[in-house]
Amino acid sequence: MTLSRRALLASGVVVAAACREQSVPSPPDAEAPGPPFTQLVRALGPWPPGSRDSLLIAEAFERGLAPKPPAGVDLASLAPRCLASRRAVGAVDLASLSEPERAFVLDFAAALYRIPDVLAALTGAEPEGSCPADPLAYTRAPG
Amino acid sequence: MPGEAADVCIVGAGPAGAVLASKLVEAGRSVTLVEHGRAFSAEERRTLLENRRRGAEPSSHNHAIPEDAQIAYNPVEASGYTYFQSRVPALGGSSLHWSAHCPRPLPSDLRSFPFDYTALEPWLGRAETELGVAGDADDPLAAPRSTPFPMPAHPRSFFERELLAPACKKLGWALCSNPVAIPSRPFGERVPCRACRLCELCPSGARYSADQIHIPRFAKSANARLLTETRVRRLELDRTGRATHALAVDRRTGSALSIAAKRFVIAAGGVESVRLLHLTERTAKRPPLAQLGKGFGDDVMIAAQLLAERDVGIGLGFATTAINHFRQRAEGGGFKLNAYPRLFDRKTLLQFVTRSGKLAPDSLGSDAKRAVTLVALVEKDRTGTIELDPARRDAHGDPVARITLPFSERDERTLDAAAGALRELAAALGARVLEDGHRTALRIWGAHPFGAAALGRTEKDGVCDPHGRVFGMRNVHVLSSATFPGLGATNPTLTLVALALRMAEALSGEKP
Repeated sequence: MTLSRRALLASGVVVAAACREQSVPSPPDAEAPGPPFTQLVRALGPWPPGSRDSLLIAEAFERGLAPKPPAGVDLASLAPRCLASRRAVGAVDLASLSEPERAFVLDFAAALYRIPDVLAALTGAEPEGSCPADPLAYTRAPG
Repeated sequence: MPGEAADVCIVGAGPAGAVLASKLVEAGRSVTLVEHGRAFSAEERRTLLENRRRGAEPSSHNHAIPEDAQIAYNPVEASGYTYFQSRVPALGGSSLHWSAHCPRPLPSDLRSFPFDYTALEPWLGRAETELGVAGDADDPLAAPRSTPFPMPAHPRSFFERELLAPACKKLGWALCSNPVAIPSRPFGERVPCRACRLCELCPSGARYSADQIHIPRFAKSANARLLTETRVRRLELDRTGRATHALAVDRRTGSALSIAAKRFVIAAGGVESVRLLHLTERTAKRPPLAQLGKGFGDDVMIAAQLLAERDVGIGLGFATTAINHFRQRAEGGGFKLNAYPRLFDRKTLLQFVTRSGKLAPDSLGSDAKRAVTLVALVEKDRTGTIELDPARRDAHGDPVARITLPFSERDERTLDAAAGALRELAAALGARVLEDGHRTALRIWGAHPFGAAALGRTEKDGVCDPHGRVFGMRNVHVLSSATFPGLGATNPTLTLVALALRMAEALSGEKP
């Protein structure tokens, strides 16, 4: 069966609306979401969810200071829901999470944004730890 | 030289021990410098930096040191004291990761010292030169200087110039230069700051670190003997109170060492110096030092997280300005303020921006650009103690330091006042307070332990004489913030290096 472009777009809108309402995981797509840890980094990071940067950070972060999920929080269940929500509405729907899940997501995001390259991607500033071409840039008005 | 008694054995190769060692060998003295930790190579530092930038581990000097090489201690009644998280047991000590703030003490900060500011002033000037301090003499509270700063202060950030300065003017608080051991122009073998904004791992090498400056100067001398990964367990005293040997252990092999010297200087930090004196004293045939381990204190730091109305720009990794308006309070317990255009605590901001139930990374950037952190460095009462723990022992079987550090009623009043000042400043900045830092996890210990082996005029009021020599131990000195009977809210390193230079001159002038 071949669907028209309009039908494909319409089906996308329906899926997005369903995600908004129910926060159900989206089906696997061409951009493989990766293991649960990577999915959570992609859901919470400041890049488009399919970005390669997110994969590189996820690999380092998992071996680094990433917080571990507490008892009662199942990463394999949580991460796809967060990623689906981010892909559908551009935000992780914290309200749909249980209290321990919500607390863990905030801890995880706080640790993620502590990484200089992640914070730089968030703010557009030169990453901390890289020496800028203009050492007096910090004295100038932003923007 | 191995086997011979050196003129001086220095225990601890942080900035104080390194400066003293370097000056003594320059003066022709033979010196054995003993360090518990190891050296970090340039390659390791690059790896730490790369890891930090990408969130991998280890990403700091401390995280790269295995647990069995850390220094054990037991904090009791100490409100979660985290002293050793701020220490680096390695060659260069805490100067490997410090923020390099180098303010001079105010005359009132030295009120309990057995000498006054005038006596210390020339040494403070020399210490600024040794460390390469950049600053401007614009603090209305500061006492006169006999020498200018070695180089001018770093230019102020957009935030400090356009937002913080007007806010301080509105409040009638002077915003003055915050002197730092980070060159603002080429200085000797050091490059000027390159604004890399990760001072803890200083990618450019501009920030002073003892392992980069004074250790190499020391090590190239024929009079130098450097023992790393060597733990001094105690000094051996003879019947007259004269130390003859340092009893040590090579941590790599576990073999015992006996290090002979004519003089010993304990420069092992504000806690371990006291512990080593305790370990030495308990085997000595002399009455105990009445004041040893008493009067322990530290600074407390509270940090408030704000959200400004507008993008505040970026700053350097350190504050180029400070507010000293509250340094001289009538009841004591002064504090100083610094402000940074960046986040210290990401979770506070996340909790605020997600109160609607959504975490939207795409819009978080504009909030992060408005984040400001205000910090108060608060002088704490000397209400603590350092003793030998009766139960816990280190890897060599020696008792660890047992630390108490309760808050006094004055401490609580001081912290209230500091939190109030942070709120006033936030209001003058027109910023929303997300977290005032008071009575929360952001009320954290500083890294400035002092007082448990204090200088005094007699053994009744101190452990060391005004020159740092231990009462009753004829050839043992202490060079550490442990000897400070107080220092207000002053970062201690400049004062400590001033005392190192003074001690170097005294010991160099002695007949061999």
